[in-house]
Amino acid sequence: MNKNKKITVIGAIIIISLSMTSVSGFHTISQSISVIEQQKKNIENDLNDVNNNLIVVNGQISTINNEINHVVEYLNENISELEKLQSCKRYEMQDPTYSDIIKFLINDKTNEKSYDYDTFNCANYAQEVNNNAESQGIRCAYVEVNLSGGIPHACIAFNIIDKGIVYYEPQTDENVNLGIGKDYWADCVVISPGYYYESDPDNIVEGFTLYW
Amino acid sequence: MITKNNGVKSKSLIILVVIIVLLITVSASGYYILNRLYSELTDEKQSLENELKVAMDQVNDSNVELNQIETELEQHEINLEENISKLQELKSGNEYYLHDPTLNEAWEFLENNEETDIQKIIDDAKNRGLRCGYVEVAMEIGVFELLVFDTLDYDMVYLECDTYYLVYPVVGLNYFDCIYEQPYGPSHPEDNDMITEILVMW
Repeated sequence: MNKNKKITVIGAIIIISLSMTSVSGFHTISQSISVIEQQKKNIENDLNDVNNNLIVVNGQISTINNEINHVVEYLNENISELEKLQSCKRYEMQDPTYSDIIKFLINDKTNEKSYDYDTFNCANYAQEVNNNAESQGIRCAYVEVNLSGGIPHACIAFNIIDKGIVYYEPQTDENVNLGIGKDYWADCVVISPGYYYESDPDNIVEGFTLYW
Repeated sequence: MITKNNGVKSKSLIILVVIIVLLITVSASGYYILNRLYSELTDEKQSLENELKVAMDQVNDSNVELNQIETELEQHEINLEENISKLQELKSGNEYYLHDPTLNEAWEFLENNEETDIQKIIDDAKNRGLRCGYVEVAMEIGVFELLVFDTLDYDMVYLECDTYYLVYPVVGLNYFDCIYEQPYGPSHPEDNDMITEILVMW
């Protein structure tokens, strides 16, 4: 082989080697790039998922925090109401027996007060006896009696055990058999023997209302 | 002839060298570019991995926080349920077992009550254990009836039974001026509504 041919062959071998090396090198690097790009894409997807998850979880946290705020606010209102109700007085009422009423009316001195149409009238008597009874745990009703004369009267009532509703005149502590169409003082009030109230066309009972 | 052969030989050699140099240059620059790309991608990947790690840590932290506040909420709800049950117990009652209500409790009762008859309203209130009073406000023109609650938080609260207007009755003042926000307008001399007496029957 002459020198020229030798140089050509060596040159060709070098060129082929260089080309092969380059191609395989490019191939390897391209593969690596492709792998890393895929990995990057996977990580980006993961990151996207995680970020979405984070948004969801943070949303849940925000919702629950709002819920907690509402519950705590409601709870505080309830605690405040609870404390007030726990510390307040309870009123235990009882329907009295007949002897309870007798004892109560004897001890209650409202009937001894002087009547004054302007300052202490029938409504004041009934109010005072009613409130005194209730403060002692005796269930008592304020009774508003409509009379034919247009001026109403007031008395009281108890729901006596075994006897039912019994009415009393608080100015005198007398028993009252209240009935519509009857004269309040002359027919309804049960007075001691030997005494009487005069009939008056303005005192006819037209109706009555009990406020327990 | 010898000179011509030598010239061709030199040319071939030069072309070979140029091709080789070109190949080396192209390969080297190709490697350089690809390596830079690879390096950039690796950096980006690393950065994304770091970001992912931070985000995952945040998710973990948020999940821990979520669990904590869920437990907290659960506890509050248990407390609330217990309180509501205690409140219901305290609010319960009947005409023989009464208590003074809070204003809120009184309003709740009134809002659910469709009665306008004062006697029935009082009976309803007492049947639910609420201490409710019957009020007679005496004026020159006659007597006007009101409801009253001795509330635990606002003391005596007077109300008209059909409108539920709040009234602050004071002896010597005109009734229309004693109604909160004067829904009927101010009192006039011809109204004859000066309050002379206030009677509260419990």
